Amino acid sequence: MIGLYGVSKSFTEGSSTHTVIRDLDLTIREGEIVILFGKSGSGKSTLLNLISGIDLPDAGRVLIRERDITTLTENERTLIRRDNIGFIFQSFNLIPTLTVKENLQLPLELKGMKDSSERIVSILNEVGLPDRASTYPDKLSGGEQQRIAIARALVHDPGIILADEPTGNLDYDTGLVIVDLLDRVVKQKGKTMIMVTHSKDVIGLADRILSLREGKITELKTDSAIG
Amino acid sequence: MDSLTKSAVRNLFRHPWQFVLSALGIAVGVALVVSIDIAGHSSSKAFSLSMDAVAGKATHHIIGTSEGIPDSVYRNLRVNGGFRNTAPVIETYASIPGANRRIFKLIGVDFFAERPFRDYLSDAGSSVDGELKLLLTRPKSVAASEQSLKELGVSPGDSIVVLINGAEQTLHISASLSVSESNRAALENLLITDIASAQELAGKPGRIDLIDVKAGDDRELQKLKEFLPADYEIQKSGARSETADQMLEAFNINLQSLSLLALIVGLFLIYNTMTFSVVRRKTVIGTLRAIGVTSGGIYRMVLAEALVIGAAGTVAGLIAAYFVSKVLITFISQSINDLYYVVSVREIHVTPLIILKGAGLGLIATLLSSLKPAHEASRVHPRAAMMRSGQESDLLAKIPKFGITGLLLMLAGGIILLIPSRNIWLSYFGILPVITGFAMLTPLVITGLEKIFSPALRSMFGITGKIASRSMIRNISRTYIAVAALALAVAATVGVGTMISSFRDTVIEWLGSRLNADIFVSAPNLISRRNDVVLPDELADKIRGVNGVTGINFYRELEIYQDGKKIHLISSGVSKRGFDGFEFKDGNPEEIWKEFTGGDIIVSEPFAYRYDLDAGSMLKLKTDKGMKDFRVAGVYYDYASDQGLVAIYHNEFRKHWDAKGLSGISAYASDEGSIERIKNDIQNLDTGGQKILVRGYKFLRDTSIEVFDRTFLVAKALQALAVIVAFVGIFSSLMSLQLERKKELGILRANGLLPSQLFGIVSLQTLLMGITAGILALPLGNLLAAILVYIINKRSFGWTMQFSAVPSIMTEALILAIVAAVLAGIYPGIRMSKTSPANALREE
Repeated sequence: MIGLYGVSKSFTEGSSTHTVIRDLDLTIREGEIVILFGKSGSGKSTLLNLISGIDLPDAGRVLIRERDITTLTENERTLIRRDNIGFIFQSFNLIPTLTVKENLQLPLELKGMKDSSERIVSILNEVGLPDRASTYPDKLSGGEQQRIAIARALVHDPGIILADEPTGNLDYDTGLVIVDLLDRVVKQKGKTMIMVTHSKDVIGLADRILSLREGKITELKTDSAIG
Repeated sequence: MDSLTKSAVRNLFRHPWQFVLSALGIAVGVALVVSIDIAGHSSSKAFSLSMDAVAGKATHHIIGTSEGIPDSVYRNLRVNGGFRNTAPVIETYASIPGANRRIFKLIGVDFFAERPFRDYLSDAGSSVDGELKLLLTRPKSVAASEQSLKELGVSPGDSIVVLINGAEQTLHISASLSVSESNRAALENLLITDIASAQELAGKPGRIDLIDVKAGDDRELQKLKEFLPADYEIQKSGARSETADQMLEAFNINLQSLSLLALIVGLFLIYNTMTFSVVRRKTVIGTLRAIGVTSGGIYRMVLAEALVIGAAGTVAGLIAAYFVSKVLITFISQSINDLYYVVSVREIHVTPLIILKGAGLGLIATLLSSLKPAHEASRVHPRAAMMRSGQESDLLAKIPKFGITGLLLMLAGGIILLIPSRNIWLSYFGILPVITGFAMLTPLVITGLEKIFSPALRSMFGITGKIASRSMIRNISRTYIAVAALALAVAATVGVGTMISSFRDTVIEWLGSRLNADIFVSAPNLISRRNDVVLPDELADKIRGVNGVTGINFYRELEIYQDGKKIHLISSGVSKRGFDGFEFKDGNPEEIWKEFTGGDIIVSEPFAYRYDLDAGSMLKLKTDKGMKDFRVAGVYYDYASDQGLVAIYHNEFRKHWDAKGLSGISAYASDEGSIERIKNDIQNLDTGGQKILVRGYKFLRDTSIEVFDRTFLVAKALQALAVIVAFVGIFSSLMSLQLERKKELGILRANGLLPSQLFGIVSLQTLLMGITAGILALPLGNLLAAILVYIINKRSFGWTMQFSAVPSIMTEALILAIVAAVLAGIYPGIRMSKTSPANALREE
């Protein structure tokens, strides 16, 4: 379970302070898929950063599997992230100097899982790119790169997936492929996912749809989100 | 290899040119440091081998007075004292005109007393009953190693003409000594003759230089001492090599520190490369952090990358060092011959310690220069994985803080430099924070200059001009390192150049006042600044009697070995006119001269520094009549010897030392027109067979300056190499910088900028960087020169020099910085202008 209690976060630029999250309470159940809408600059990515421990709130508590990560050191938070969270970025962010297989190997190695070949073959099959193991990222199309990025987020079997506009850099059709893939490999496997997006095509995946506005969360009904 | 390391290593090979250039920076640095070390060690080894060759198995040497040891003392030792383990030695040098002026040590020995001392003379084939018999029966016969004879193209039975003490001598080759692994090095530059022939050849009839002793224990030594005249000394074998090493200490340290300069520039290169690598990969590093790599993991990854570069550079540098040292050895041994002692270095000696030191230095330098980039990488926030810009704003905001830190560092460097210490390394250590602090001011200077450049370029070149100057600021985290590296290298050129020029000016001025006579007479010598060979005493009066000579000065130089050190004593018969050539640090010259002629001594500035003396101090000197205290009347400026000189009035000298002859005589002519005629008259004087050199002021001054320039040849070569490393650095930096801007330049091309305009932007930007580096290099260079002149030289040698900024050096430096930058920008400019906008816009 993920819990945010009384969380606030501001950024200071020069002499002005901009509050992006304001006294926010949010709980996400295990296996729940949450879609987060909001305008650019509304604090969506900041919220993901707070959940993953990349950023610390100015106030409030963030609980990941009942552990308050705001009390942990940077290294401890990294270890929590390593074990429990998979990241999917808008710009894919694959490591250009590693092949597809090695990109997938990395989270497994970090988790201390030595014998990883079978797991990699299996996840590549799941994302539909079984023959691309030895390819470097720059030889893949955008859609393929994002499929590998999803595979990387899942390969070490984390309970939580944080996706920051995973279809934002893709064309409509490829975006749909990715949504379908997320449905199969995330939702149907009972993982928790928080996805920041502008795309309405992902709504079908959602258990809950939230909107972030002026630092506050409001829950949207599916209809209003589509509308 | 884990995936993280794989990624790091592959990153290097993905940018091979950057990898190679950085490794090259370290390679050149390591090659210079190690080759200087090898050259220095080989020279010192050659000297100690030549000493060992003479010393053989002797445990001690008996040193006599300034006139050596009379034959009778030796005879008395053996016949009446019964000391059988003793052997007489005469040593001198012979140069062979046709063999690249190769210098051999000529030793005269008593073959009947030799057996316990020198192995190579007691081999069965070369015993006195065998081939060596000829050496006893034929005057001026010599033996040499078969290797040396082969190199000279002669064999037993042939004759060779050599120069000994300036006089031509014909030597007969009577025997060749077989070479084995154990004696090869010892025999390399050695000619051996019988003691009687040596006395004749060296002009030391009835005298020997030293007596070798093979003593069993201290009791035997004590007994021996009791049998010798009181003022004789028994010195441990090897003491002279130690003295020679001590003499070279400051010379070697300064050479090494110059080579370290190249390494420091190389260090900047590594810093440069690693910083670029980190900046370029901020997103990748952010991603790695986001997926769970700890900051320590990132730190280690960057260090591992740096170590690969360092290791490649170090290995290449060590290999190159072997070849570079072969070239350097010629220059260094020439300087040692010019300044210190006769040595002929023919073989390169590399010790594991030298290799280890070089390898350690290369790797440690790499690690040190990568610490900051690695630290920066480890601090990359995982948020960077989601950000596409804003990397530069960090540094821009920090520029004032950066500048203040720079100033504080310079201040710290200043404090270290002002610590009253004689430690040269500490002084060099103080330069580091000064350089680093200055480099930290670079962003401040770039932003300041941009404010001036930007409107000017906008009006001259329109929007492309503005883009060029603005991009310096936009990419400040990268531009400043490239500019700082170039500025540092150019500053090093200005610093070393100005120091040499200041030193040269000081020496020329000093020569002008010191050499205030018209004609200078000396015996030919193998060492430019030392007079081993003496002129007959009566020559002074003969020269005084030459028509047109209005006055003379004369001196006798003597080397005194005491307490393991060598002291150069000058017995001076300087005239009142000669007094004017001396300038004292403190005190009234008239008073000082009065005290000097009354029996006090005067010491040169380096000597006073070395022995911590001042006017009024007492100095104990070993005279031929025993130890005696002398009062120092004054300290005079002198640049003839970094070891320093002690001058004593000639009449006083005669009271305490037996040494006969004069080392040099100078004469004043009644008028300028008669100088040539007087020179001829002196040349035609009867010198008792001693060859003399009669030279005018100009010749002597020019020769001295020639020796000076030769001494700094290595420094200049090293300085040039540092510039090459810097050029590699700036090239590498600009290349990275322009490739970094690939996307930005692609956008410009997509928006209609012509390839030629793009080339213009790149060239203009590199030109601006060159100008900024040049402007920065001038104050830093002069600051470095002032540190070298006032602190390093003072602490190394004790010399006071006048610092003079040289406009021509500064102009050259400015041009150098601009040309280096513009040249380094040509290739990236062409490459970027030829890159298709589509490719440039494509994401990595």
